[in-house]
Amino acid sequence: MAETVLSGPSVLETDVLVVGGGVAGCLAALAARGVGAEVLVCDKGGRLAWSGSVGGGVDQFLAVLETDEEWDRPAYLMQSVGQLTDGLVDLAVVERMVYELPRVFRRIEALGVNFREKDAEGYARHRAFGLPGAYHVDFDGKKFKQTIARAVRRAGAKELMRCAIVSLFAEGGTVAGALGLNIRTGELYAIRAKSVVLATGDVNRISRNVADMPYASWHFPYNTGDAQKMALGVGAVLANMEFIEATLGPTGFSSQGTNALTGLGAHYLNSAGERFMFKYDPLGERARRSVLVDAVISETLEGNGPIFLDVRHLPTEELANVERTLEVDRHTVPGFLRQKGVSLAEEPVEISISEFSIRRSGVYFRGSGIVIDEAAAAAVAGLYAAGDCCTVSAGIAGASSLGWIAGVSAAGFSATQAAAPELPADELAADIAALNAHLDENRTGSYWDLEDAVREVVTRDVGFRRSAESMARAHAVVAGLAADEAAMKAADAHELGRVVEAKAIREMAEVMVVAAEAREETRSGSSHYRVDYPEPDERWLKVLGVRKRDGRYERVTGNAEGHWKGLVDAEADDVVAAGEAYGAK
Amino acid sequence: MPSERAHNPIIIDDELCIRCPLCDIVCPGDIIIRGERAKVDPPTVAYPAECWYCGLCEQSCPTDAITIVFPERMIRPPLTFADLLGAGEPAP
Repeated sequence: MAETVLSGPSVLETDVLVVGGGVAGCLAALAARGVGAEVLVCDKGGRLAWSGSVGGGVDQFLAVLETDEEWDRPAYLMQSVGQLTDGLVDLAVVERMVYELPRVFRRIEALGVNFREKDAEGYARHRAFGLPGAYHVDFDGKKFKQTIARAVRRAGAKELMRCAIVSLFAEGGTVAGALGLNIRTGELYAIRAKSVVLATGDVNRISRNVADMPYASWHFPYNTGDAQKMALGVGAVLANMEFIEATLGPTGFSSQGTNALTGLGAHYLNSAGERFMFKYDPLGERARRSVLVDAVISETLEGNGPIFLDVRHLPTEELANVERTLEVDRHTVPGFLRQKGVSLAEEPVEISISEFSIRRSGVYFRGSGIVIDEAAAAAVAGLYAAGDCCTVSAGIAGASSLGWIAGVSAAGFSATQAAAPELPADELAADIAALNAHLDENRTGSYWDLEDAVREVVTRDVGFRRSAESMARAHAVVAGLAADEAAMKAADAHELGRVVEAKAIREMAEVMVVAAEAREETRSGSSHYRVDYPEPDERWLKVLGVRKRDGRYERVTGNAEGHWKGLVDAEADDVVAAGEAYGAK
Repeated sequence: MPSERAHNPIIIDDELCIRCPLCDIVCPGDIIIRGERAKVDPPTVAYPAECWYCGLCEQSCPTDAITIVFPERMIRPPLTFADLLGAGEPAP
């Protein structure tokens, strides 16, 4: 019976609400608890120890350790960031994050994470992602998330698990709290919070893969841009949303593993058996990951696919370890290859491009999402963001560092507030009514159909090759689908959670098109490849933001110096109708 | 949910399963639901099409009762990468 699915809302109060209990959220919780704030962490997962994109483990951490090596200092790393990111990142925020890295690394070590090499005193470090030194520490992070989650609990943070935050409230330009939904039981929570840290990760399930299974993806499929959508709705700015990130996996299973094989020295072969990587980069297979992905896309589109990875030339003892190496990245990859009947030691394995995400466009530090400042603050008082949902992103290290900064900032803001504000009663009631409406048995729409419609047009027309014409088609479809949102039916609380995710996916696709249409150049290879503007244009060495005012999108660009701060208040370049209003024009 | 995606990837051996709630707890997608009566009813894979294929359930199961099985459409995908972009032609 639909009317009995939801219950509550129970009213909760906290100094700091952390939305998303992954690495960024956990570090934010620890930091805020450390200065005495009351903290409530909400996550869609069942237990904090395994929730988030690295709940199953992780194997490297970008560390600046301030050893005697010249490169091992924040200032040295910072020298490369401008060039790595084309300047499309707020360097002041990256600097704040990078300078925090040595301290955050020691803090995480103190929590009980062992970063050291097995049976050794030192750290195993390697160079990756085009960074100017061997910053990445290889470690056994199978229990990384479990360890920091235990620390969060020890520190006295409260946890609400299986809780999706479905609405964010602000009153008079200051954040007020949120509405939570238990996706198993249907309990609702009206959460009054003096400050909120958003840490829900990247945007996935937004495009198709060759198996046409949107959840069987490389990136974490339960990250759907929920925070980005909510932040946009209360006045925050999103930036770098036009850029997409794809990666490589064994054909059929968009999964981790090819990076490990590449690291071991695998050769990339095209259908003619040629090692083609040197055509694209003098470093060949040792080129940056984003270059490898771009090369596979180009080679495939030129008709030279399928592409294979070949490790048969490796020494026998390394071949013996190949399977174990794959398993570290993704537990199920060896089983997949077995079921497919592929033996890496005997034959090349076919690889393919994964679906894509709105994440960090394959460029370290250059995040896509909620614009934040050096305090991890978004453009709404009391609202903070960290991790892959914000504009400065660098794996779990970046999430840890900015998460910590966000937690300190949020607790500091909360300390200046006498009491958690009242939630706006009308909005709360309207949002609960809207949730209930999806549980009405007479609804006929499906979240699967809505998402599939988004994915089809986004993949075809706003994917690795884009043009004004293709995007105009996609824009009309994606905006028009807003009219179908209300009809989506949910049979239970779990499905209601998916309905909320589908709305976020659709709106993030719309924001992506709005941004990509304006950037009339090609930048960062297939991250934003305009066939009608196939070259980079230095006039576009500037950030592009999208904000929502009076139900319409405003595009705003900044200039070189301090342009990030201007995204909030600067005059809009132009205004674009949103959702149904755009579809109806 | 489209029927062609209804493949159940999480095969639970009823003999080996001891009805503990671990697979339900570790699943990041709220896919596996523990049985109603603790230690009596087996878990159900309630939303098979929403599985990430991460294998946390398989790894965590204390009696190795879980096996991840991939569907035919992942082993031999019906589409190629070029199909997704529109019959091999880049967007106009």
